[in-house]
Amino acid sequence: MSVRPLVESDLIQVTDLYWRFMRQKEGPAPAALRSFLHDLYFTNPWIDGASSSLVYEGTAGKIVGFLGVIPRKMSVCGQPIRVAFGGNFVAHPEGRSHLAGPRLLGAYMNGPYDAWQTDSANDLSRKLLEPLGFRTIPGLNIHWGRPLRPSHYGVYSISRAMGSAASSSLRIVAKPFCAVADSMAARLSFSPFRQTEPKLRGEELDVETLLQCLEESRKGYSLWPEYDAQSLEWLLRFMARVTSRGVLRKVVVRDDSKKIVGWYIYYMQRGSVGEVVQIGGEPRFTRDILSHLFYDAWAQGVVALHGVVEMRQMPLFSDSGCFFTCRGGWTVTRCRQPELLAILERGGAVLSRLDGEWCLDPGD
Amino acid sequence: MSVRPVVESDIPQVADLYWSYMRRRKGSAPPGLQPFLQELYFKNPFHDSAVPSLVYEDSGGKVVGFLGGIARPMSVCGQSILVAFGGNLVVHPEARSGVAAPRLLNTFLECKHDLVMTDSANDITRRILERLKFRTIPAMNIHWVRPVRPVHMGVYAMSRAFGSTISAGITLAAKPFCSLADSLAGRLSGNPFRQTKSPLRGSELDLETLLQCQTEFRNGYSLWPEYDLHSLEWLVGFMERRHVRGILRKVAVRDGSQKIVGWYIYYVKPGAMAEVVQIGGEHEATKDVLEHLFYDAWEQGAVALHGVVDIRRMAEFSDKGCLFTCRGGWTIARSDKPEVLEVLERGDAFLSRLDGEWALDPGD
Repeated sequence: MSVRPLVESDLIQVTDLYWRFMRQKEGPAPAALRSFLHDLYFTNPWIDGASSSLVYEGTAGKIVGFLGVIPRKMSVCGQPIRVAFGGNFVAHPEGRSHLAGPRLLGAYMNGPYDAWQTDSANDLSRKLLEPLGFRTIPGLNIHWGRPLRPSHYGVYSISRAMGSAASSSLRIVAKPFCAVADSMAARLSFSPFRQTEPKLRGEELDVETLLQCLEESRKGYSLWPEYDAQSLEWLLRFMARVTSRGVLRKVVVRDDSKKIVGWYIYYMQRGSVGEVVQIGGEPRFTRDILSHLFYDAWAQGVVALHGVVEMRQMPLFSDSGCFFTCRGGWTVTRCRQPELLAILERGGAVLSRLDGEWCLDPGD
Repeated sequence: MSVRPVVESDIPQVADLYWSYMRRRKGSAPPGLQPFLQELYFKNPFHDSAVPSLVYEDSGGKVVGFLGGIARPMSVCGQSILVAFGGNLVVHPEARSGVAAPRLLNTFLECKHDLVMTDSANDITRRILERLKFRTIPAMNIHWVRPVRPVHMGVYAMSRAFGSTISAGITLAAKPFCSLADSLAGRLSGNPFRQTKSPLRGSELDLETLLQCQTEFRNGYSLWPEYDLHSLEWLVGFMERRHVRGILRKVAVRDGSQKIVGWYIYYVKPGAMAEVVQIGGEHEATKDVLEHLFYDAWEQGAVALHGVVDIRRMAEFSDKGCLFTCRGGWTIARSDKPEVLEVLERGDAFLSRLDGEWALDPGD
C-alpha cells in the first residue's frame, strides 16, 4: 500500500473512483469523463514531466485513493512561484480505513511547491485541511450573488432544497407568476432589478486580448497568476467543454473610443444561475462593467449571477445590487513562507476562479 | 463668516439646524434634543480639545453650519493614538452654495489627530470625503443581515420602500399571514431560519464584565479602543437613552462551567430590524454566541438582525445564515500614518459600532 504519481494507465480506475465516490453516481462512468481527466492531468500546460497528481494503491495494486494536483505558475513581485492546487480528492471506502486520505495529503504537502491551495473545498475538506496548516483567508472567500429575475431566483433557491420531483413541480407552477413579476421588476423605474441597455459596447474576448488585459490588471498587486497564449488557450478550451455549467461567454467591454475598459467571463445557462469566472478592468468602470454583465446575462435568460469578489471591490459590487455570502466553496491555503500568506491576507493577490481548480472541475 | 469651536450657547441653533436639515423634520426641534446634543458634545468622557466640534457663522453671527467632533482614545500595538470621529455635518441650505461645508471639514482635518474616521457616512458624504483623501475601508464595511422571522422581514423590507401610511397599511394587512407563515417556518426542520434554544446560558452583561471582555478578547488585534469604567458607563448610558432604536440589551454568554465565552449588545424593537452594536468572545464560540443572539432576538419579537461583521468572523456568520452587503453606513478613514490605515485595511482592528459615532447618533 503506497502513494505514487498518477500514470495514464490508472485513468480507468481513477475515473470509476471519481464517478462512484466523488459524484456518488451509479453505473459505469461516461467515456467522456476519462478523456476529460486525461486532458486535465496529462495535457495541462503546467505539468513538468511526470504528473503531479497522486494515487494510493491498496492491496494487489488496486487504486483506492486519488488526489488531483495542478501546479499553477504565479509570481510574487515578479519572482516565480509554484502553487499546487489540490482537488478531486477521493478515497474508496475500503481505502479510508487504510489511511489513504492522510497519506495522499501528506505526499501532496511534501511536494516541491511554494504554496498549496484549493478554491472549492466543501465544509468537510476545509475541516480536514485546517488542522494540517491550511488557512481560510476571509478575503478570498467572499462570494457574491446578484438576482436578475428575482422571483425566478427565489423559486430556484427554494427548489434546490427539495427533491427533484417536488422541485420541478414547484418551478412549473410558479413559472407564470414569476414571469410576470420579473418582467415588471425589469421594467419599473424604481426597481433595483431594472435592466437598461448598457452604455458600453461588448464583443467576443479573444485569448490575445485577455492576455493583455490580465497583464494590465495585475498592477498594484503583489501576487498574480502567470499565463502565456498557449496556457490560456488550453484553459479556456477546457472550460468551454464543461457544459454542465452552461455556455462559456467571454466578453470584452469597450468605451465609445473603442478603448478596452474591462472584460468578463461567465457560464451562461438559461433559467439557471450564471457562474462568473472573472471580471476585470479599470476600477473606475467597475459599475459599468457589472451593468454590462448583468444586462448580457439577463438577455440570455439567466436568473441570477454568482461569483467570487475581491474584498477591495466589495463596495462597488454592493452599489450594483450584489449581496455576499461565504457559501460556494472554500479557498484554503498553506504557504511555505509566511510573507506569502501575509500577501494573501492583506488582499495583495489578483486571483479569480480562472486561476485555481474551480475552473478545472470535470463536472458530472 | 468664520469657523469656530462650538460653545454651549450655540446648542439651540445647532439643534434647530440638525432637526430641520439633517433629519428633515418640520417644526421646532423636540425639547429632548438640546440636552442630548449638550451631553454628547460637552459632557462626553472622551472630550479632547484637540478634536473640537465646529460651527460656521454667517456675517450676522447666525450659526449656518455644524460639524460634530468626538475624540476616541485608541491604541495601535499598545501605543496610544487619538482618533477623531466627525459626524452630524449639516449646513443651512442658504449657506450651501458658499464655503461653509469645505471650511468646516478643512478646519476639522487640520486638528491634531492620528486617524480621522466616520462609521456612518451616507453615499454623498462618502463621495465628498473620498475627494479629501479619505479611504473606504472594505474590511470595515461588511454589514450582515440575518432574518429571524423571514416572512415578516420580507414585508418589513418592502414596507420601508413606501410612505409611512402605505407602509403601516401593508404591515397591518400582512400581519396575520406573516405570523402564521413564520410560526410554521419556525417549526420546519429544513428551515435555515429555524430557531433553536442555545445550550449556553445568557445573563445581563454588567459594565465591569464588559470591560474585562474588551480587554481579554482584543488579543490578536493591532488596534483597539481604550475604555475605563467611567467612559464605558457614560457611553452605554447614552446609548440606552436612544429609544428610537429600541431597548439596548447586553448579554454575557457562558458555557456549562460558567466561563464567559462571548457577549453581545444590541437594540431590539418588536416587529422591527434589531441593530447589533457588538458581538465578541472566543473565536471558536462565535457560532454558539450567534445562535444565542438569534434566539434572544426572536424571543424579543425582532424580525431580523443587522450589524457590521468583523471580517475574521465572516465565515462563521455565513455558516449561521447571515447575508452580507455594504449598505448601512460607510466607514471611511484618513490618516497621515500609512501603517495605521494598513491595520484597518487588513481587518486587524478590534472595532465595532460601540467605538465610533454610530453609537452616538442623537437620532430623531
